[in-house]
Amino acid sequence: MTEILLADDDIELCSMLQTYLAGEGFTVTAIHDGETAQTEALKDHYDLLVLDIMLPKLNGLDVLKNLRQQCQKPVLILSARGDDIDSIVGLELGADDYLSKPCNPRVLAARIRAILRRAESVSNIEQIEVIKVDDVELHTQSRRVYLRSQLIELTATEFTVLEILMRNAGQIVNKNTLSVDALDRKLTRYDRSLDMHISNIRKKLCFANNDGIKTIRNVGYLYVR
Amino acid sequence: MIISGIAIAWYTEKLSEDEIPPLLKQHHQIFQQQSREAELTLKQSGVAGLLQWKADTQNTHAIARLYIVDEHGMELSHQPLPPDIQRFINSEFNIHFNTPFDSSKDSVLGFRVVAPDNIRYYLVTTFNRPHPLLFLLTPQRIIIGIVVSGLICFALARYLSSPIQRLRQTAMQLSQGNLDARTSATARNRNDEIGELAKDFNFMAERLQAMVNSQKHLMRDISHELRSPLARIQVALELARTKETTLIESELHRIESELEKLNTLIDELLTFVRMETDKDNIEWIPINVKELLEHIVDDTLFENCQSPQYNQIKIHCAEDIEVAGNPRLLHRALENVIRNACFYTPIGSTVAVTCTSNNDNIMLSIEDEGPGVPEDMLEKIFEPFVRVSKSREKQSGGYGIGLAITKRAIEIHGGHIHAANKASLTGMTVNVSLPANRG
Repeated sequence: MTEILLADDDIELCSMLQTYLAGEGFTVTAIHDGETAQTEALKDHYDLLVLDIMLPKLNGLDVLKNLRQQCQKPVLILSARGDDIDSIVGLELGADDYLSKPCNPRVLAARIRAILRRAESVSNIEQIEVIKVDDVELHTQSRRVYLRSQLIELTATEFTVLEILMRNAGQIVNKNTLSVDALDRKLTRYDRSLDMHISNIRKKLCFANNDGIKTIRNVGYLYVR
Repeated sequence: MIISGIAIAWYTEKLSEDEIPPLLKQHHQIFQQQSREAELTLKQSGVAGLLQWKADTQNTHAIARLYIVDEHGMELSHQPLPPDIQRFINSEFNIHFNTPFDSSKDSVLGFRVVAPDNIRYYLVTTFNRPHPLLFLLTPQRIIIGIVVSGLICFALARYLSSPIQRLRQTAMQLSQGNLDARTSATARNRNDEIGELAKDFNFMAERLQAMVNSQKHLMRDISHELRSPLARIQVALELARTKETTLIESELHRIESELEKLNTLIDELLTFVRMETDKDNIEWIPINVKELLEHIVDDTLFENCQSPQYNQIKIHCAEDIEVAGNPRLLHRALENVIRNACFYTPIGSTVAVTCTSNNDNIMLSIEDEGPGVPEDMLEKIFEPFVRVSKSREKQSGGYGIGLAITKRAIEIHGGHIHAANKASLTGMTVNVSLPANRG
C-alpha cells in the first residue's frame, strides 16, 4: 500500500481526500501545520508528500526547502490557483510537480500516480544499465547520477528528465515529448515546470547556462555530447 | 498691483520735484508769448490798441478769461472779475504791486505789461488745470507703468498658478489610477491656501488609496475564502461519484460544470485583483506578436470553433513585430478580445486580426461582423461586470470580467484599448495600441 503524507490546513478537506484517495488505493495521513509536516516528511514510510503552500506555523515552501536538504522524497505542491510565483518557486526548490487548488481529486490521484511511477526505484525497461556522457554517469537501475564519480542528489522527476535527455544525447528532444514522457502530461502553454526541472539539473550538474543541456528555442532541449 | 502703483507714484513724485508739470509749463510759455505781444501793442497803439488786441486774441484763440488790470486793480474794459481772479489779484497784486510781477499760482497766470509811459498793466488769465492724476498720463509713463505692472502681474500669476497647475497634474494622475500620486513638498510647505489645498489633497489621496487597497484585499480574501468550500465540494462530488450514481449522474455532471464555472469566475476575479497588486513584480520579455496571435487563434479555434462551417480568424501581421511584455498576461488580454469577436460574429463570417507598427507603437485591431455595441456602451464594456444586454452575456458564458482584465493588462503594458462600431458595415472594431519594444 502506498503511503501518502498530506499537509493541508483544511481539516475537512483532508478527511474527504483521505476517503477519496483510500478508494484509489492510497493510505493517507493528514497533518495540518508546517512544523509537523517538516518532522513527519522525513519518516521513511511515506512514499510521497502532498504539500499545501499556505500552512500555519511554517510555510509549505520552507518545509520543502528544509526537506530537500535531507532527502529527495517525491513532493507534489498544492498552490492556490493563480499564484504562479508559488508554483515556480516550488519547482525551483525541487518539487516534482504542482497542482492549483481547488483541483479535481481525479487529477490529483493521476498526478500522484505519475510521480510515483517515476520514483519506482526499479526500472521495468530492460536497458543498458549505465549511460555515460562525458563526466556524467547515470545508473538507470539504482537511479543514481554521478558527476566525476561523485553522487549527485536528484529528485525522481529530475532523474527521469535527465535520463530521457541523456538517452537521446546529441539529438533534440521535443519539449512536448519530454513533458509526456517525464511528467505524464501534455505540455500546456506557459507551463514552466520543465524549464524549472532542467534549470535544477543544470545547477546540480554545474552546467553553465547553455552548456551540457542546450535550450533550443520553441523546440526543446539538446543534451550536448 | 499695489507695488506697481507705489512704484509709479514714486517715480512721478521724483519727476515733479525738479520740473513744472509739462501742461502748466506749456500754458506758461504761451501766455508769456502773449504778454510780450500785448506789451508791443501797448507801445505802438496805447491802451485802445491793447483793448483791441485783447478782443482779437480772445476771438482768435477763443480764450474767454483774459483780463487786463491796471495799477488800481481795475479791469480796463470794466468787465466784472470772477471770484478766483479777484482773489488772485487781492493776494498777489498787493504783494507784487510796483514790483516786477511774473508769477503763476494755481490755475491763474499773471504777467506784467509795461507801457512806454511806465504805467503798468497786468495781464491775467485762468485756465482749467487738469486733474493732478492726469499728469501721470504721459505716454512714457503709461508704457513704463504697463511694463512694470505687467511683469509684476506675470510673476504673481506664475506664483499662484504654477502650483495649481502641478496640483492639477497630480489630480489627473490620481484619476488615471496612479494612487501613489502626491503633491510636491514645495507646494505643501507654502503658508497660503494653496499649501493647505496641497496638504488636503494628499490627505484625500491617502484615504483614497487606503480605501481602494482595503477593497482589493477584501476582494482577494473573499476569492481565497471561496476556494476552500469549492475545493471541498469538488472532493465531495468525486466521493459521491464513487457510490451508486446511475440515477443522479446527470445532476452530478451539472454540479461539476457549475463548479467549473464558479472556479473560472474566481480565477478571473483573482487575476484582475492580482494584476493591480502585483504589477511591479511582472516579468517582462520580448514577445513576437505574430507568434502570440497564432497561439491565441489556435486555442480559440480548437476550443470554440471546431465545426467546419464556423467562422474564420485571419491574421495580418509582419513576422518581426515585437513588444516587451508578459506573455501570459498579454495572451490573456488579446485572447479575451478575439474570443469575444469570435463569439459575436455570425457563423461563417470572418474575424480579422491586423497588426501594424511604426517606430513608437504597435497597433492591433480586431474586427468582427457581429451586431456591435450601442454607442454609449463602447467605453463601459471594459468595466467589470458591465453587460450590454442580459441575453448576450448569458450565451457567451463570460462573467463580464474578461474585457476588464484585457484593459488592465493592456494598461499595465503601457498601451491603450478602445472599441468602435464600424461606420458602414455591421460589426465592431477593437483597437489596441502597445509601445514598441526598443530592445
